Order: sequence, then structure tokens, then C-alpha cells
Amino acid sequence: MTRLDADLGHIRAANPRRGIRSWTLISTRIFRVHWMLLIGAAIFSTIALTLLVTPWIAPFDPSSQNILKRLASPSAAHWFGTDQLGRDVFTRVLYGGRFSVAMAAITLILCAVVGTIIGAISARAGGAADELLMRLVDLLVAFPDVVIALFLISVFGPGYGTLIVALTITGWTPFARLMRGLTLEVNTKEYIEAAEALGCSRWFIIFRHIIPNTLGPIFAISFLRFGHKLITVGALSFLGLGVQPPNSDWGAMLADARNFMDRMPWLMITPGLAVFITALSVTLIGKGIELERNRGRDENASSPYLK
Amino acid sequence: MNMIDTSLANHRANPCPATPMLSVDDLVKHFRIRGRLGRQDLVRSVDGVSLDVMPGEVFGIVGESGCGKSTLARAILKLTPVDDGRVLFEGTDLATLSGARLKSFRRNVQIVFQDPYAALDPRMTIEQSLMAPLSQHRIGTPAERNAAIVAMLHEVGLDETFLPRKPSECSGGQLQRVVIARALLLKPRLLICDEPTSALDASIRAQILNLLMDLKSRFGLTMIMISHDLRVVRYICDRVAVMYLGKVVELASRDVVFSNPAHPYTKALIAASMLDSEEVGGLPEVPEGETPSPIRPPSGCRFHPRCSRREALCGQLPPRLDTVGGAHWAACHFPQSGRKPEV
Amino acid sequence: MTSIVLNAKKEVGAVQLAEPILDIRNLNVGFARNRLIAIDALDLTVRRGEIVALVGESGSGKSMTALTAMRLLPVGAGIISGEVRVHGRDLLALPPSAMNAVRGREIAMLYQQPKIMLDPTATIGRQIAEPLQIHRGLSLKDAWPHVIEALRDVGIPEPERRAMSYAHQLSGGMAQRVMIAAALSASPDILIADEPTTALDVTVQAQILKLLVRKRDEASLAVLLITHDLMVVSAIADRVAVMYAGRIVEEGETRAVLRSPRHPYTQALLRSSLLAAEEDGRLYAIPGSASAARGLSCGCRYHPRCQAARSLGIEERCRSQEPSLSTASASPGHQSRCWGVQVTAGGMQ
Ligand SMILES: Nc1ncnc2c1ncn2[C@@H]1O[C@H](COP(=O)(O)OP(=O)(O)O)[C@@H](O)[C@H]1O
Ligand SMILES: Nc1ncnc2c1ncn2[C@@H]1O[C@H](COP(=O)(O)OP(=O)(O)O)[C@@H](O)[C@H]1O
Ligand code: SF4
Ligand code: SF4
Ligand SMILES: [Mg+2]
Ligand SMILES: [Mg+2]
Repeated sequence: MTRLDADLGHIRAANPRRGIRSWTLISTRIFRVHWMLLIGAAIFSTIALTLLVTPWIAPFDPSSQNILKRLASPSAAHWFGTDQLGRDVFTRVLYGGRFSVAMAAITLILCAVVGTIIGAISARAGGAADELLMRLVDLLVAFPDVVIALFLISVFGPGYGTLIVALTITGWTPFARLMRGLTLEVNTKEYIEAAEALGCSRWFIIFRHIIPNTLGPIFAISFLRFGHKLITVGALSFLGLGVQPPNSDWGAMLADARNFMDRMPWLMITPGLAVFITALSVTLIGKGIELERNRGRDENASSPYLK
Repeated sequence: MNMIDTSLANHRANPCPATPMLSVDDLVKHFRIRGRLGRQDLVRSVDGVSLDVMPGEVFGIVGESGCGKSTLARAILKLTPVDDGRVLFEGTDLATLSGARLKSFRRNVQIVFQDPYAALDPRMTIEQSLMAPLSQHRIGTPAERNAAIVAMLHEVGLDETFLPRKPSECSGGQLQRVVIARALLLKPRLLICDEPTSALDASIRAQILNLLMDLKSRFGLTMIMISHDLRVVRYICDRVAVMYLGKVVELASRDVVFSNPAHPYTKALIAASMLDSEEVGGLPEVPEGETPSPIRPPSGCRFHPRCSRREALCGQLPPRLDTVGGAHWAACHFPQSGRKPEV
Repeated sequence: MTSIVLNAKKEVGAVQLAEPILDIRNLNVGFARNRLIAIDALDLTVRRGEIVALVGESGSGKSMTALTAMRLLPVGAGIISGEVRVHGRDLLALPPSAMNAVRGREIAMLYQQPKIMLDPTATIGRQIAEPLQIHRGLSLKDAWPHVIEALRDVGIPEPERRAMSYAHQLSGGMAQRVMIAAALSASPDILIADEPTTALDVTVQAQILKLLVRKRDEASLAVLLITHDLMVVSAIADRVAVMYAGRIVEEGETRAVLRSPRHPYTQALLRSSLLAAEEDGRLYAIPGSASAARGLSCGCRYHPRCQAARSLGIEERCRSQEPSLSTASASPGHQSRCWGVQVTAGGMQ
């Protein structure tokens, strides 16, 4: 063993920041991520995996009715009981989750893509175009999501397509605002100027320079917005404008359960809890990413070696 | 001579017979910034600058930070719209360029920035950064582009092992070589170096300057060397323009500027540079006070609040850039040569 | 002007007696992943009212020394051993929370690129107020007059207006003044300035240096000035330590080290920093690169680039044995880490 090896062997012991003091530190030391990110990711991946394999693991057919077993309390056979048509609630929560989560994820991704591109274009264009786009954002923000969605659905009729389009139209604005701010920041970097001086096209600059350098915060806000999307999708289904029977999602289940709320509370609690836990887990991921980024920034703030 | 209107005439009267590669005519660039209470303030970054750059020369621009050197460079590169005046590159007014003609102009004029870490996208590998200009201009086949990149890396003293690296994995000197390579890939004729060695340390600075001089003769470059380091300028430049608060205050050949500066500011700059500091100890005398804000520049001569040679006239009448003998120009009512003030 | 500085230098005897503010003892810092020792057995003392310059090429470990003292090491770096004493208290032994109270209050730092270090989203006034809010518990409103005064003190024109502006609106020189105002706003005892004037122009540099000298004299501030510019060293430093590959290779009073450098690296650094054309019209650049010292675990770290070793014919010793810091001249405290110096000194005896 050379002197170098011997010396470096002591680094671990000598660094006063090294001691493992709590489980949050276990998270940061072993997995090298913030505990919120770790827990959120663990819960959400469990949920996602369960929803993915639902057709194989669900104990019942989600639409098979059994009038004899209407409104049964939770039991070994029916973990969450049955609903007013005798359908297994556990099975329906799983199938409903497939719709809810998929719908929220799809609209979220669309919103992020649309908002990011519009925000970047707006900031790069500047002047009147920028002004116009930002006023459009203000206008859209002024109306509640659900109102605009209701309007679109009343025009084009309910269905997945309309739902996705409606939620995208109402949902891209926060991304556009954030992206515009981030782009203005990146715009001051000399590599953008260098790219312009080299004659790179505006699309090259947006897609190869600006978006890669702003992806971190966009990623974080995407996770933070997921819960919001899940609840909006639920709200529209609750109003009968989302998925149509016999399919169902968590919002529709909540709507159906309203009439039996006092007698059969679990009909309401289970889909509600599902929304809550899923939204929470994804929010934890978003928060974790954000904290992780800030932690990196704090440490880098002291270091000239900005990554 | 004194009666000739300066801004356009002075360089037209330049004794150099060749046509300039680049001429800047009375260029003005003001930034509008929001002041207190939403009031708009004008930052007079470049306020009537005229100069000619001759083919094959190394033209130096020196001055304190904020005097408008980079803004001037950006205007010359058409990276920023200008408020007044013209920039002519080989006789073509840049204001008329757009689309494909602008793109082809980009191949003629390139820039090397001060901070190589900022000038390269931290998320791109060196290969991606070098490939961008070639692919954006659709130069050559992918194989030819690869060959060109590797050849250029060797030109600047690096090799192909750098291709997969990120900027964070290279030293500042190496990155500055990459930035130079990227600029030269388009085979420009005019290379603007905006403080290319200011962020590098002594031995690297010498290497980069040696490299730039080698590349200049190998590629037949004309260069504009922007620097605040008079040692760099003294070593590398043929002619030097000294800027102060958005204006050129002195313009002459290198030897004249260093041996016989006419403008008090130039003298101060030379003193502050501690050029011949065989002598150990002691800070040089520098002009009192701070550089005034370019938002409200001083009346008359912009240097007058800090000038040791000022007289009443200086605060009232802005001096014009005028000859103090041959191709030596200075904007001062009382230049070192002792010329009488014009009224 | 010169006479004032000379007077200050004459008092070196008195300065030597002043209490040590920053005392780095046998510091070793490395990167486990890269198997790199960034700082090797570094000893350095900065006393009250003294400017000590730490010079060397980039990568020699200057910033790591500063960051270790601030306990702000980058991820992956670890302290192998050593002490960083401020007022006799070892900062490396403090818990992280106690360190937050020390930073800004007892020890503060300036950076080479102040614009990157300033928060782009907050006004500079707020950023200068921050140390006052943290360490003195002032409200933003109460801190504001101090902020304006601090900005004026470091020579910012129109301080009321500038306090409301953002980092991107400042020139480099202004940003560095803002950083100085922020660093000194809670009156620390030692200021570590990591290349504070490298990115600035010369008259601004002279002014910032003058500002540091003024702070040294007014507030008896101890300054560890990190730089690669020997002209800066010659202008204001009381003592200088030359660093190469994590080691101090030459150390002493500024006058002694710059007038009669004994270490070949110091000599080369001095020659290349003049940027004067050599006989062939080119600039002198130190041959090779500092990375040649990487992975060397014995011998003089400078030997791959050293011409003196060759001309003195002591390459074998230089390659195999590392010289220790030893007396280099009659000047007090002038030491160098070179076999060549020891050979010639021995020869003279
Ligand atoms: N985008 C901008 N907005 C407002 N002011 C600017 C902008 N860019 C530069 N300035 C101002 O213009 C002046 C000249 O800046 P610059 O050309 O960068 O100077 P130099 O390169 O000589 O240091 C400075 O006062 C600076 O604050
Ligand atoms: N974050 C990092 N990761 C790996 N190596 C580093 C890091 N920061 C610094 N180093 C290494 O530590 C050594 C000393 O660096 P530094 O103290 O920054 O040098 P200086 O400030 O003298 O230029 C260098 O060899 C550098 O490569
Ligand atoms: S014009 Fe007057 S104030 Fe201006 S530089 Fe000349 S002497 Fe000084
Ligand atoms: S010890 Fe040898 S190699 Fe090292 S600097 Fe001295 S002469 Fe050169
Ligand atoms: Mg500049
Ligand atoms: Mg450093």
C-alpha cells in the first residue's frame, strides 16, 4: 500500500461530515438522495407496479356484479367491501387507478412539453410575441381549470380525448411561466451567445442548449404538479365528465359513493385515500428532487467547480 | 485638420492605403434598463465609436470593465441591435443582413470569450460543442466533420481524447483551446478575442497567446484583441484603441501608445498595469474616484472628474477624437503633446 | 504612496509578533475517488493586520486551502488530517451548525467570479443585508442604512440605486466590490480572497487591492490573498507563499521571494508572468503542465518540468527524494523546497 492509499483511507474517518447520524442520513449516504425522494419513489413505484399488473392480480372482474353481496363490509374476500352493485371495491380501486394515474400522467407530460416549448420560445423571441404569449398565460390562469375544461367538454362532448386536450390547454401555463424565467436566466450565458455567433439556428439553441439546461427545475415542478392533475382529473370524473361507465376512475368512484356516504364510508374513503397517497408520493418525489438540487447548489456555491 | 468633422472623417483620413476589413462608424448602443419608480434609464454602453480594422492586423481594444468593449464586440458580431451608426464588414452594412446572408456572415467573423467555462454548454461534450457549427452550417459529411474536428483539436494543441469529455472535466486553459478551435472551425477571417486570457493564469496565458499568434499566421487571421491587460496588448497588438465610458479616447500604433500616450487616461492605465514592475512593493497611483455610471456620464470630457490635467473647458465641451500627430489620435483638449484647445 | 507601503513593510518585525488569526497546521486534503492529494502537509499562518499571498498555477491547491478553511469542501473532498485554527479554535473540529455561525462572522471569503456567487434573483442590497440579518439579528429595514453605507464604503457609485439592482446588471469590478461589502458586513477577522482581482481590469484591480490594504490597516484585518499574479503580490503582500501541486515550495517576505526567488518554479513563474517577448519573439511559457505532478508519490513534484535539476545534474535525487522546506536566504523566514538550493547553499558554506 502506497502512502497515497494509506492517507486516502483516512479520509472517510477524518471528515467530520461523515458520521451516519439518522435514517435520513442513511438515505443520503447509501442511496445518495434526499429521504423525501427515496420514500416518494418507493411508494409511487409500488403503486405504479401494482396498477401495471392489475389485470393479473385483481381478485375479481371490476364490472362483475353480485346483487346478493351489495354494500358488504370489508371481509377476507372483499378487502374494501363491495359497492351498491355488489362489485369488489378493491378491484375497482385498482382498475380506477389505472385510468386516473394514466390520465394524470399523460396530461402532465403534454402540459410540460407544451409549456416548456412555449415558455422557451416566448423568452427567446422577446418583444411583442413574448408580451402576447404572457398575456395569454395570464388570461388562462384567471379562469379556474375546471371551468375551462367544462366549457370544452360541453362543446366537444365527454371522452378521454377531450379530457386530455382540455386539461392540457388549461395546464401548460405554470410550465410556460417557469420556463420563461429559466430561459431568461440561461439566455445570459455566454454559450448561448457563442451559439448565436456560430450561426446556430433558433431551434438548435432552444432544444440543444436551453431545454437541457433547464430540465432540472421543470422536472421538479412536473412532479409537484402531478397531485394537482390527479385531483383535477378526479374532479371532472366526479362531475361525470371523465371516464364513462362501465369504466371508472377514482373521481367517478367518489361520485358514486356520495349517496352511501353515511352507511358505507369506505366506499368513499378508499378511492379518496388512493388519490391522497398517490398524490403525496409524487409530491414527495418532486420536493425531494428540488431539495436535492438546492443541496447541490449550496455545496457548489462554495465551490468554483460548478457542475 | 481641426475643422474637419471627426467622427467619420478621421479614419477616412487614415494614412493606411488598404481598404479596411471592418469599419465601425459612429456606433451607438444604449441599453434601456428600468430605474426606480419604473423610470427608464439609458445605459450609454457604446456612445459614438468609430474605428477601422485593416486586413491582417491585430487591433487592440483596451479599457476598464463597463467601458463598452464587449458591447462593441457584440455589435460587430451582430449579436445585438444597435441604436445608431453602422458596422461595415468588407463594405457590407451588417444592418442589411438577415437569414442566409447573416448565416454566411457568421462564418467570416468569430469570437473567443473571456470565460471558457461559460462559453461552452456544460451539458455538451467537447465533441458536441465542436460539431455544432459544422452541422449547423452543413459543412462536409459527418466523416469529414469528424476529421475536421480532430484536426482542429491538434491545431490548438489538444487531441481526440478530449472529444467525449464534458467541460467540467477539463482545465480552463484546455477549454479556452476548445473555444478557439470551435471559432476557427468555420474558417473565419476576423477573430474577435474578448479578453481571451483574463481568466487564465500566467503560464497558460503565455501559451494561449503564443497559440493565437501561431494560428493568426497559419490561418491568415485578422484579429481584434479586447483586453484590460496592457501587457497582453503590448505584446500582441499592432494598433490599439483605448476606450473610456463608451468612447474611444486614444488610438494609435502600439509603440506610440506605450511610449508616448497623449491621453491622461491612457497614462493612468499604463501606470496601473505595473508593466515594468521590477520594483517590488507599492501600489501604483490610479485615477481618483470610480468610473462614473454610463447612465449619466459626466458632461464635457467624460474623464474630467478623475483627470489630473483638467481645466474649466473640460467639463463643458466634449473633446473630439482628433489627430495629435500623424496616425495618433486622442480625444483630449490638452493632450500630452501640448496642442492648443480648439474652440 | 510608496513610502507608506514601505513603512508598513518596515513594521514587519512588529507584524510578526501580532497574534495569529488563521493558523493552518499540517493540513492534508484529498479526493478519495480520484486518488488525489490536493493539499499536502500545508503549514500557513496569517496574523492580525497582515496580507499573506498564496500564489501558484491553477490546480496547485490554493482554492482547496481556502475552501478547507471555510469548511466548504466540494463533494468528494476529504480532510485527511490537520488543523485550521482561527483564534486558536480548530474549525475542522466544529459541528456544522457551529460553523455557520463562524462563517461571515469570523471568517469570510471572496471569490474570483463574484457574479456567479451572487444570487441572480435577489437584489444586491438584500444579499449584503443577509449577514447582518443572520449574525446581528437586524431586520432588513434596520440593516438597510448599513447596506448603503457598506456599498458606499467599497466605492460603489450611486449606492441607493445600486442596492436595488441585480447581479447581472453589474460589471465584474462592481460585483467584486459588492462581494467585499457582503463579506465584511458582519466584520470578520480574517478575509480569504480567492483570486479577487483576476477577472478585473488593472485600475479596478489597483483600487480593490487598495481597498484590501485599507481594510487591513483600518480594521486590522488579516487577509489570505490567493492569486496567480505576481504583480499583485509585489504590490500589496507582506508575505508570500508559492504553492505547487499542493505543497508550499517557497515562502518568505515578499521582497525576498520576488527579488531573489530561489526555487526554479518561482523563477519560471516570475519570468512567464511578465509577458515580455523572449529573443525568438514568443512568450516564455513554463514547459510541460502542472498535471505532470499528478500521481507522483515521491521526489520533487516539480522535477518533470525542472530545467535547473538537469543543469545542476541532480535529477536522480530530485526524482527519488522530496526536498523539505529549508532556509533559502538570509531574509527571515525565507524558505524553499529544492535540492538545488540546498546543494548550492551547501556548496557556498
Ligand atoms: N444587457 C445589458 N443591459 C443593460 N446594461 C448592459 C447590458 N450589457 C451591458 N450593459 C452595460 O453596458 C456597459 C458596457 O458593458 P460591456 O460592453 O460589457 O463592458 P466591457 O466589456 O468593456 O466590460 C456596462 O455599464 C454594462 O453595465
Ligand atoms: N470537485 C473536485 N473534484 C475533483 N478534483 C478537484 C475538485 N476540486 C479541485 N480538485 C482538484 O484539486 C486540486 C487543487 O485544486 P484547487 O485548489 O482548486 O487549485 P487552485 O485554486 O490552486 O487553482 C486540483 O488538482 C484539482 O484538480
Ligand atoms: S479633455 Fe480635459 S479632462 Fe478630458 S482627458 Fe483631456 S485634460 Fe483631462
Ligand atoms: S528539487 Fe530538483 S526538481 Fe525540484 S525544483 Fe529543485 S532542482 Fe528542480
Ligand atoms: Mg467585457
Ligand atoms: Mg482556484
